[in-house]
Amino acid sequence: MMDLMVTPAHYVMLAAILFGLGAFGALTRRSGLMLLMCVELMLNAANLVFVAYGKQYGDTGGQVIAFFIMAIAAAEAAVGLAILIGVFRTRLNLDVDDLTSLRDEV
Amino acid sequence: MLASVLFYFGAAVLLVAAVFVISAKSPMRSAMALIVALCAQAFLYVLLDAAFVAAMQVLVYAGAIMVLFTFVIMLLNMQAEHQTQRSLLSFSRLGGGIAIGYFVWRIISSVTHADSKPVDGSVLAIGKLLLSDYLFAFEAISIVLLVAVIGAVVLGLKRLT
Repeated sequence: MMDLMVTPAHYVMLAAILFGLGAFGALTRRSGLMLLMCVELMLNAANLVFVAYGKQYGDTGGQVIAFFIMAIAAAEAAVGLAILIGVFRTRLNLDVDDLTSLRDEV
Repeated sequence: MLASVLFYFGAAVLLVAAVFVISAKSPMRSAMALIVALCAQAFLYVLLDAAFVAAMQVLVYAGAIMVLFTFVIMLLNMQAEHQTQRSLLSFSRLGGGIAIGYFVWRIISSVTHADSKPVDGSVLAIGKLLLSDYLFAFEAISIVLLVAVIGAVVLGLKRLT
């Protein structure tokens, strides 16, 4: 029966899987928008770890940090989407494989 | 017992939605799946005694941020990625998948189980912490948000000279 008990460690395992999914998506999808959404998934995994460990140690600080990550995610989404719109305006697609104009010519 | 059933339910919804996010062809479907995933995570926050964080998750994440995403998707009239159809088992994809899988497995095998303690997730407790222990970070994050708003406006201007 003890095995069925859910401890905060289970939430950390779930967050690890979620982070892995987000990282895999960020590496394999080519649209810039999908990249941003996968980054949101990874940030959420980090959030889940903070809240879970806050529960494990009985500390509200974990939840406060989760708020800060939410604020950072909002800032990232605003700036990232503004950049994507700028990219779309000049190139008419968002394929991140094509964004090579800053790459050093060798 | 009920708590573990609820946990596995929320975790299953979250993982299925996350898989759909990274596998859906059209960005709009990914965004909708991401909203489901974020709401499932808010459900898990409630199970972790973080009711206020859960409310903010729904309001800020599933509400504000995802509205921004769907707005941009509709504004740009994005079609599904026209893949040059790389095979699903290309070498780089396989290698990256194995590396990430190893990373996840290392985390999963290294966590130690410990009993949870009661934690106060009320607005009062969080507000007190925000204005005492985390006061500097609180002020810094407000400046970061201000800079992000100004930056987004500048980036969105018609002509950058």
